[in-house]
This record gives sequence, C-alpha cells and structure tokens, in this order.
Amino acid sequence: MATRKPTWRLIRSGFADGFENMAIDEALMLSCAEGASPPTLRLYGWRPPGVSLGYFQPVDGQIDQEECARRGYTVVRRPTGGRAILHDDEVTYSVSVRQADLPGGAKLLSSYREISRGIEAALRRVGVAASPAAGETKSGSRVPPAACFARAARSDMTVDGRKIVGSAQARRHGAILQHGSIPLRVNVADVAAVMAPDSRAKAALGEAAVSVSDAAGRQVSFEELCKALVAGFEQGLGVTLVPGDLMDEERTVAARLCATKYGTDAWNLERPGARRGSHSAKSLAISS
Amino acid sequence: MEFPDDLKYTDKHMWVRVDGSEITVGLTAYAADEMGEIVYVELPEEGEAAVAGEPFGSIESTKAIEDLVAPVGGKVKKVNTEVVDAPESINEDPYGNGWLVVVDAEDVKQVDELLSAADYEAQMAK
Repeated sequence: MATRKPTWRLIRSGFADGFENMAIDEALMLSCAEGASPPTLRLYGWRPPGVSLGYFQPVDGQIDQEECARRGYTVVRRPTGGRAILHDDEVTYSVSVRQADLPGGAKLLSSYREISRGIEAALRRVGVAASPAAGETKSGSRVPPAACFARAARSDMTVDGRKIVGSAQARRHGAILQHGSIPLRVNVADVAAVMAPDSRAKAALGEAAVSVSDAAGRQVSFEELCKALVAGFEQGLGVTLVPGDLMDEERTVAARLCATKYGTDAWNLERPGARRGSHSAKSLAISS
Repeated sequence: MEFPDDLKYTDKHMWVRVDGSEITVGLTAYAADEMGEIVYVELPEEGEAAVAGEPFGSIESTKAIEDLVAPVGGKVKKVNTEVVDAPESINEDPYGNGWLVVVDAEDVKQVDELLSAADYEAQMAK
C-alpha cells in the first residue's frame, strides 16, 4: 500500500518590502510552533530592494545606512542568524515547519540538508548543478564578513565553490524557520555599495558568489525559478504542495509584528543584547 | 567529542554541573559543533528568573539562531560576560571557559531527571 505524501502549504506572496517580508515569516514560524499552521513553503520577492541583517549582526561598521537611504533601500533585521544580504533581483524562499514534521528536523545540520534537497532539485530544473559545501571556504579571517555571500559555510549551496543561495535558520519553540535568498542576477557593485567600507570584503564578493542566471548561462526569470522551486521541493522533500494563503490569524500576527517590531528602528538598527527586557521568548510571544 | 561523565544533559543540548544548589549551565560540544562558528550569544541578566524548559537566551552561529532552553528553574546568579565578548570560547572550551550562566536552583532534584552523559550521547547518535 502506497504511503500518502505529507501535504505542505504553498504561499506565493508576490513582492513586498523587507519589513512585511520578515513579519510574515516570523508569524508563520510562530503559528507552526503553536501547531496552528501546516508546514509551509513561501516564495516571495522584495520591493523596494532591501538589506536584511542577521539577528545579532551590528549595523555600525557593517552596513552603509546613508547609501541605503540614498537608494531607497529598506534595512531590516531578520529573525534568523547569518550576515547581511542585499535582496534585489531574486526569489526568496521560506520554510516554516515544526521540527517534528521535517525529517531530520531535530538537528540543525540534518534539517539544513533536508531543505537543501528541495533547493538542489529546483536548481537542477533550471540547469544549475549546485551542492552543499563540504566545509567553510577560506576567508583568511575568523571575523565574519559583513556580507552573507562573501563566505560559504558548511552546508551552504554552492556551484564550483561559489555561494548561490544565502540561507539562515531560526529554531524556536520546536519550530524551524529557514529562509534564503536565491539571486537571479547580481550586481556586485550594488552589494558592495551598501556594505560598510571594507575593501577586502567587497573584493571577495565577486568571487565568492554566483547568481542563478550566471550559473545557468542564460537569463532565468522570477516565475521560472518559482515554478522550479515548487517542483523541486515536491521532488526533493517528497511532499505535495497545495497552493494556499495566509490564515486570518497569521495575517493579524504579521501585521502586529510589522507595526511593533520589523517596522521599527528600535528593532532593525539595534542588536538584541542592547535592549534589556526584550528577551527572545517574550518578543516572540504570539498572544498579546 | 567529549561528554564529561560528571555532568548532566538535556535533549536541548545544555549541560549542567551541580555545586550545592548552584547549577552551572552551558552548551554541549555536540551542539557547538552542529552550529558551527558561534558568533553571538544573548544571555539573561543576573537576578532574572529561569524557568525549566523555557528559553532563557539565544545563540547564533553562522548557520542558525537557536533558543537556549533552561535545564532547571531558579534565579540567574551569575552570567559569563566574557563569553558574550568572545563567543568562540563556546566552540573552543564548551565545558570550561564557555560556561553560560550559574542558576540558583529552586529545586536541585530537577537535575536528577536530566540525561546522563551516556544517555545524551546515545540520543545524539540516533
């Protein structure tokens, strides 16, 4: 007797600003943690382009805020770890799922590997042969570079050693939020311009990262990559993706998070340790 | 990989060392290895309450950010501020310099319910 494949929800959100994008991703993670939401793959884009910072990443010395303001780019602090990313011509994926509902979900590396299967299958469909990096690429410094794509860590998706997907994960209350930037095209000068002046980090960007279009040797569109991600996740994770949308409760929580957290300078421009009392457990509470 | 016998463990990757009613808490070598290079850690303040099974801080590596889940309940007595400045100590010396907090336990007997080194190692091997 054939086992029925697990059903996941697929949300195609379209384009929104960084504040809304992060608020929705966190709302989904919280809702999954509560058991109120099914495992969900969300695909979305950024309009206007924006920079997202890792949860603990400082702003000063890492991001050129003035340049971001000049360009009309938003700056948002993610609920996940990692380094800064300029989100522009890309597809962003997010997976929100309870650890218990993802094979290997109880462990960080195995959960990364499982989700990688979906991304790998998707990239293959657009003609890109990517695989998880075996170890860290050499950077000559233990200090993490400001830019996520300047260095590939173990399990990061790479093509010939160059990072093609920048992913970050948060593991809270028994749930996983993993989201990642899959650049369709990269303008290295744009990325370098928004990172704080650091010639070494800027020089590394061009060699360390590659876009999907470059790797495929042709222009890959947003729509094509989204379709490939849907098919790739179904194939790689052995699930059935059912198109759906945010539930009312998720929408409400996302709106509240956008207004009180992701849309505020207090959250985006200060590292969490600088604010006493805003402990992770309290700031993630789903009920007001 | 080390799992010192004189410590107790949780399935959320915390180790505890008991000294009277004072419980020193840290992250296991297994978890530090899984996370990769630890870049930041957020710890509670002295005097804050720790609730067994509830998050009391966060830890971030180049790969992920995770809750630190309190193994026992009580009041946070000491916080390792040095590890906040040098989070790599958690990777380098998780059971020594990488300690995170000391908790004045409300009920030391809670420690008896935690995992032995052998049990923790067996769970992680699954």
